[in-house]
Order: sequence, then structure tokens, then C-alpha cells
Amino acid sequence: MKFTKKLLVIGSLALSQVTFAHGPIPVPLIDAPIPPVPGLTDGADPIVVNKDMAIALGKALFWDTSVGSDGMACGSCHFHAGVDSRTKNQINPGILGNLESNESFSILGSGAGGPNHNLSLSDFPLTEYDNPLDKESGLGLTRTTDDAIASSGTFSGEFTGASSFTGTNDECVRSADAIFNVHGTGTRRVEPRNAPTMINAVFNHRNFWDGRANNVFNGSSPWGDRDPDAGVWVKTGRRSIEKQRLHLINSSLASQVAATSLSQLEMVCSNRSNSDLGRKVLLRQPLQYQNVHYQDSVFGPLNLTYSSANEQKPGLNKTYKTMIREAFAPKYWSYTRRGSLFGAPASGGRAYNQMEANFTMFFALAVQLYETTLVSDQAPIDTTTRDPETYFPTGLSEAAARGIHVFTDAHCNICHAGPALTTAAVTSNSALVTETPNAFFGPDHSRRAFGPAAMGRTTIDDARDAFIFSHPNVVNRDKTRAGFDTSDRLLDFGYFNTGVADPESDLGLAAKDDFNNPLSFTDQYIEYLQGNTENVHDASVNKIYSCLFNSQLAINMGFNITAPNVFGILADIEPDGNRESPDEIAIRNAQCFNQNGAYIPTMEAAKAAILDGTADKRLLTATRAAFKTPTLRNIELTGPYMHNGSMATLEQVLEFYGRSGNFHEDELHGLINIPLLSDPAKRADLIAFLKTLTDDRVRYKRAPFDHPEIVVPNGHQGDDLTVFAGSPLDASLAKEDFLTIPATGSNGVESPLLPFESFLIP
Amino acid sequence: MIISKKLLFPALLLLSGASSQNAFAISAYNSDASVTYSISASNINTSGSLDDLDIFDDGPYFYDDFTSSSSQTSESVEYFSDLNTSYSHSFQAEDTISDGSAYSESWWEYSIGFENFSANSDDTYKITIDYSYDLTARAIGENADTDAIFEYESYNGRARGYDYINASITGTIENSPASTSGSKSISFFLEAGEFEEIYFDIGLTGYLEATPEASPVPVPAAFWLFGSALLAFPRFRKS
Repeated sequence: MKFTKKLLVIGSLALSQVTFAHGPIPVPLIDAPIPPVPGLTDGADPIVVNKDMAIALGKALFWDTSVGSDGMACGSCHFHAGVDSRTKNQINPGILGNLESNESFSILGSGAGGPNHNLSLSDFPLTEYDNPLDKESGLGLTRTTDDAIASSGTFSGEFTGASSFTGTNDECVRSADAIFNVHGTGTRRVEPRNAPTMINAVFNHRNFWDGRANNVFNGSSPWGDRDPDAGVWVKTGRRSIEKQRLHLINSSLASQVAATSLSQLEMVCSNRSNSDLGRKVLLRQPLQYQNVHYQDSVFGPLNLTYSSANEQKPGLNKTYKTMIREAFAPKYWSYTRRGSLFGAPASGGRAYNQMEANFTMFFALAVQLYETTLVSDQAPIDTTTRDPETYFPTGLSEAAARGIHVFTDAHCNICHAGPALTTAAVTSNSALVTETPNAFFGPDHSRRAFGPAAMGRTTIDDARDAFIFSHPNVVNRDKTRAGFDTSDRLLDFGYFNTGVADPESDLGLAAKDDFNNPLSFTDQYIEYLQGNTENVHDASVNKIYSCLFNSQLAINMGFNITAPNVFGILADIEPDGNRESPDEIAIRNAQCFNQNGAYIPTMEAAKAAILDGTADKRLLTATRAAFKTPTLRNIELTGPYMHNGSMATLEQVLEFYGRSGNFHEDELHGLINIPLLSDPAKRADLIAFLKTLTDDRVRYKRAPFDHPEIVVPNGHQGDDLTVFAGSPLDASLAKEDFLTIPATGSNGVESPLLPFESFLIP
Repeated sequence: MIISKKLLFPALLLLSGASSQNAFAISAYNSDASVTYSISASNINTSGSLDDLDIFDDGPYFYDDFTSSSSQTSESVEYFSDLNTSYSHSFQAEDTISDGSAYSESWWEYSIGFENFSANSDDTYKITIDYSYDLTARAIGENADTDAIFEYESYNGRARGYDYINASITGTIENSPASTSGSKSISFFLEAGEFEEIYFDIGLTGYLEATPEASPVPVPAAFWLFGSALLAFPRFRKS
């Protein structure tokens, strides 16, 4: 019996990963399903009553430099194809890690580094091998670091107050930071991870590199249903108001805003709540000090600008308070009394009113609705002609066409699957492969029906090879590159350890939330299997279908099977769904193409396996240093790459994959083994294909990717050895340089955005 | 003293408006609300009367929350006495500062109650309240935001309404003065032994910031007209 199982595992591995190009082909994003948010703008009692105004509110808040405590807007780190192209003062020493060096900066390839360093091409990649295509040859590893190339953020400080009408900066008690300084003169703090693009981020089931922006928005924090105190204040009568829980699914963009807006690395001083932010901005003119293009694609049609063809002017013509009143249902802002139930500023002052108390919700949902419009679906890969049967692109250049084959031969497509080119787009991908009457996507000349063949059809429906099914499974059991008996591991679907950095420099998905719960669905699923349902906080964990796993967790062959990596003793397994109801067993079975695998371990067996610790290999996980699979769309323009921004060029990225990653841990995903990328011609073809993912509307900042003017801190005067004290914010802080990015309108700009490497010192 | 406070506002505005041409700015608001209503009633029992219908008004009760010593309010109330007669309630709030920040929130609540004391179960009263309201908000000077809010709700929640007007002046926004009005007819039946009450809320809020050495703030023509009009505005204040 043991032999049989071994063969099964080997066969599965070979089929899925080694022998031939297979799996989803890159498909258009045009009319791909955006995950629905029931109750937000639809239904009998929607939260948002004027969607257009909510989008305008979100766009204003996203780009308004008054939102941060010292001039930082959301857009300050997302102004270049949705990412940050700044190159000065962009280094974090690795503060999320457990390494001794997590508060000290490394000397990079150029011979310098640290705060206010101006990045050079020679600084990249941060982890370098003598032979970039072979970790073992020559001198092997020649340099590495736990530093990350990210985004210069806030000086921070302790919030004491802010004007409700004027001035960009808050009043904060500021001083030089213990980590971010040059010889004691404070520099802006830098985020610990590279800022990913918000373009197409609406397709992600969760956001942030570690997925901590929960799929469910609870109205007041990033933690979804995990936060027991979350909720929004809802007016139920003239003199009655109550805090109600909010449960908006597919709203991780809003959850993300709830976190970022309180980040003391990115935007704000400590002790400033989002209600304080509300008090600061509600009465203000949005974008008060920033020019707005008269043809702005959002503000223009709503007649919100003062600008004309002859003169650009700053600001919108309605206050934030007015925009909220027009956009959101009155029950969220019209309670006419303020009071202690809403809380009061930590820095003192009158109690909040309802609109201030609910400001997190207004801010987060408005930005989510704005970001939902940022879908780049007009790239060559979207508009090309396609084979009507296979749906393979037929109108690309020869190099790009070859590059698609490299993409699938190298199995890039297994993780970068679906229209958004990421399996982190769990809900959208599943919806696309679900047969739906009258639902089609793609360009007019090549419409494709939703259904199992949406992502291509060769010998089988290709989406299956990437474990994309109609049911949105948030956990998979997949192959890693650990030893033979330890390679089958549970992992969060769309989140993988790719060996970019020392795992201890950043645990990624294996970290905990504010309540000490695991971020990962996987660790919650382990709790589910053991029957510890009180430790399952994300509802989707209760809907994981085991029969859809790549590597079966439990198997019923009709007789006992003893194997190191699967539950096969009949007494140790039960049908998946058995704990819920007989109907649930039937529902789950209906999704299976392998009924033998529609089983899970009993609670007792799962507990025993956990108690057995490392001796039992059946409930191993791969969440350590796992990060969200990023979209590849516009990848040409969105460097530096990876969660730590450690690679500056696409060539460096492909070399990284060609050498099968930088660090080989047990959690390293099984597909990070791509020797064919050692061939420079194949790499060139693959890059040619990757460039077909760029939407020219992004490249030229055309609608919907136009934006107001924004002035972005761009490092400090001097360099990494010398800065000049005397910032207007505080004498202990370094004087700054700024980058002014002009306002654009719906027709965009004449000069295209350039790749990240073009901004580096040669 | 009361009348001097009332006269203070237009005088100060005129003075400040003139002064702002030279050295400093002021920020001010002046908002008001008025509600007019009449009540009619009939007994659907054609042989019955309205003798057992009790109508009473309660309030207005005033609440405020302000930080500025210059914040002031006034009100004028006509109390109910007869059916089919029009009654008016008027409320006003204002504040002016020339330096720093101030907020003031003023609220009035009053209600009209109805009770059918009849021992005859055939006596069902049809009550109709016709009301109209006018809200005006005025923001003046450098940075000011003001709301005038009207809200009503019946005791049992059968009827409920909310309206507001906002005026704002900040940055290059100059949305002042602003006004709105509305009217409604609320009808309900009151069976023997039943009770109903309609609550009305009026809110007038203002938030101000002024910078002592700000650039001169242009004074709109409407401001001068407003200021001069106030001098002739009849004064009312709850005794």
C-alpha cells in the first residue's frame, strides 16, 4: 500500500510540474469579473448612494497630501504606474525581520547605503550570486542583505492637533528617529516592503504582500471579522444610534486603507486616529494646495474643478464633508449629537461626532471605489486577436508569441494565472471559470464565455492546472522543494515562498495579526481540522474543499493506506463537509473530479498529527516567508520588483528564477525550479511577452490613470553621509528635496513613464 | 445686554469686513432656521367631537456646545393654542472670531403631543400637521463652515425626516449663503386611548478658524448686504 501511494504522489508531481507546458494562458482583462461587494452600492439599503461622488471622494483622498501628517498621500507612493519610482531615501533596514541586523543598514553594491542613499544600478540585485544563473558555481553568494527598497514615508512624531481648514502638516512633537537618521539628523522613515501597484489590485482576494488587508471590510480596521470591536455607527432614529458590525466581502482594498492610514512609517504621527483625520479634513477643500486638471476624468464630469483650459487651479469646489453627504447614506453621518460614545482625540479636545467617528469607513470605501476603476485592460495582451478554440493570442509579435510559450513552459502561468495574472485573484478567477449564462469577456473581436475553458483549453481545461475552480478555495495543498516526504504542504492559495530573501528577514504570511491570530488561512485551516473552530476567524476557511488540493490531504481508497504525507487510514478520515451537514458533503463532492480525495482527517487524527510535531509530515505548511503573487500587468513599469524591491530589472527577475531563487527553504514552492530561463534567448522572448502586459493608458497617464498634481518628498538635501538639519517641521529633521508631479487629465501626457532602472544612477 | 449682543454681530462684521481690507481677517457664521406649522383635526365618528383630543407642545429645549465667548443664539417661539392656526418657531446662531479657532453647536428640540382621551372607542381622530421650514446658512470671512439642520420624528417612528443646508468658505470654496426649504403634511389616526408625539430638532452649527495676519480676505458683496440687513433684522430671544 505504501508503494502505491508513493507512485501516486510521484505521478501527481510529474503531471503537474515537470513534463510539459500546461495550465492557463494569459487572457484579457476586458470585462473580467470584478469581485462583487453586496450592499455597498446595491440592494435596498446601500451604504453608498452616489457612486460617482464616492469615486471622486476616493480619488481626492487618495491624492491629497493633507491626509498624511507631513505631506504624505496614498498617491505619494503610487504615482508611477501605481508604484513608486523614487530612488533616494528609499531603504528600510529590514525592521520586520528577526535578524540582528534588522535595525542597521547594509552597504549595498555601490559601496554605500542607508538613510538618504541615492540608489544606483549597481546596488541591484540586493542579493547577488557570482553566476546569476547558478547559485552553486563560482564564488556563489557574493552579497545579500535584509534591507528592503521601499518608499520614503513620514517623519512621524506624536500627534497633538491639526487645523480643520488649512495647512498640510499636523502639529506633532517631532524628533530625529533612532533608525532613520544621518548622523543624528532625522530623515523620513521608509516602509519595510516595496509598494505594490494599486492598479488592478481590486482583483486580489486580500491585499498587502502578507495579505493582512482582510477580504472582509469591517468598517473600522484592516482585520475583518477578526476584530471583535470593529463596527460603524449607524443612526437608527432621531435620538438613537448604535455601533453595528459591518461585513463587506471582497473589500480588502478598504481594509488596506484602514491600515495604511494609521501607519507611522507611511503617513502619520502616533496617536492620530482616523477620526482625528476626519476632523482635520472634513471641512476642508479637497486637494487644497494641488492643481487639478480641468479634464480630470473623475472630477471634470462632476464639475468639481475650478480649472479651465487656460488655467490650472488647485482644489475642488465641495468640501470633504459635502462630498461624504452626497456619496453616503445619511444614516452613517446625520446623527446630530456628538458624544463620548464616539470617543475623543487622544490628544484632547471635544468628542467626535458621527461623521468623524465613521471616517475610516468613508475614507476606505471611497478609495476602494476609486481603485476599482483602475483596471488596465487595454494592453496588447488584452486587445490582440485570439484563436477561437484555444484562445491563444495570435496577434502579438513573434518574440512575444515565443515568450508566451516560455511563460507556460517555465510554469510562470501556474502562479501568474487568470486575467490579472495572479492566483491571488481568487474570487475573480473562480468566477471566470464558472459557467454563467450570457457572461463573456475579452475584446469585441474575440469574446470568450465564462466557464472552465475561459483560460484556455488544450488537453484539459487549463485553469484546473493552476488549481482554479468554480469554488474559490483559499488554501491549497501543494508541492514545495522540501524533501520527498515533506514537500506536500498546505499553503494559502496565491501566496508563495519564492526564495527571494532570508525568511527571517521577513516572515510575510507567517506573521500574526493585532490579536495574535495567524495571518494565514492555512494556519486557521489547521485549527479547523483539529476542531478548534473558535480559532477560525475568516469565514472562507470553513469553505475549503480538500478534493481540490493539488496534493491530497486525506484519501479513501476503500482500504487503509499508510503513507508519510497523507491521511489514509479509514478510521482517521471523514468526508469533507461531514462536520457541517450531509448536504455540505454533497456540495463539496459535486466540485470534485477526484472523489477519493474528498476527505479530511478526523479531529482526533489531526490533533494527533499536530501533537506529533515534526515527526508527522501530514500537516506541514508553507506560510513562512510566503508573499502574495503580484500581478504582472504593467510589470515593465513597476520596478523595483519583489516584496523587498531587491531587483531593479526584469532581466534580474528572470535570472533569479533561472537560478531557482535565492534561498532554498523547505517552504520554497515546487515550481521555483526553472532552468530553462538560463537561456538568454528565452529570457529575451519572455521579456518581450511581459511588455505586452503594459496598458498605454498607464504608460501615458490617460484616464482612468490620470491624477491631480502631487508634490512628493524626494530624499533630503545632501546624501547618505551628509544632510542638513532645519526642516520646517522641526529643527532636528533634515531639509528635503521634493518631486513635483504635474496634474494630468483624461488625455494623459506626451512623455511615457519609464522603467524604474532609468531613474537609477548608472 | 441682550439687545447689545444682537447688535454686536452686524456691527462687528461691518467693522471686521472693513478692517480685513487692511490687516486681518475674520471668520464668522450666521445661520437660522424657521418652522411654521398648523394642525387640523377631525373625528371620523361623525357624531363625536374633538373634546377629548389633547394637544400640547413641549419645549423648545436648548442645548449648546461652544468654545467661543462670542457665540450667541436667539429664538422666537409661538406656542400652540388653536387648531387651523399657523405658528412659527425661529432660531438663529452666530459667531465671529478674528484669531484662532472656535466651534459652536446649538440645538433646539420641541415636540407636539396628541392624546385621545375619549372613552368611546368610535372616536378616532384624524390629525394633520402641515409644516414648512426654511434653513439658511451663511459663512463669512477666511475659514467658516456652518450647517442648519432640521429633523423630525414621530414617537412611534411612523414619520421621520431630515434636511440640512451647509455654507462653507475655505480655500477657494465660497459656498455662501445657502438656503433650502421644504414642506410636508403628516397625517395619522389616533384611536381612543392612543398617544402620539412629533419631535422637531433644529441644529445650527459653526466651525471657524481665522489667522490674525492672513492676507486680506476679499469681502463679497453679499456679505455687505447681509451685514446691513442684520441691522434691521427684528430681534427675538426666548425670555
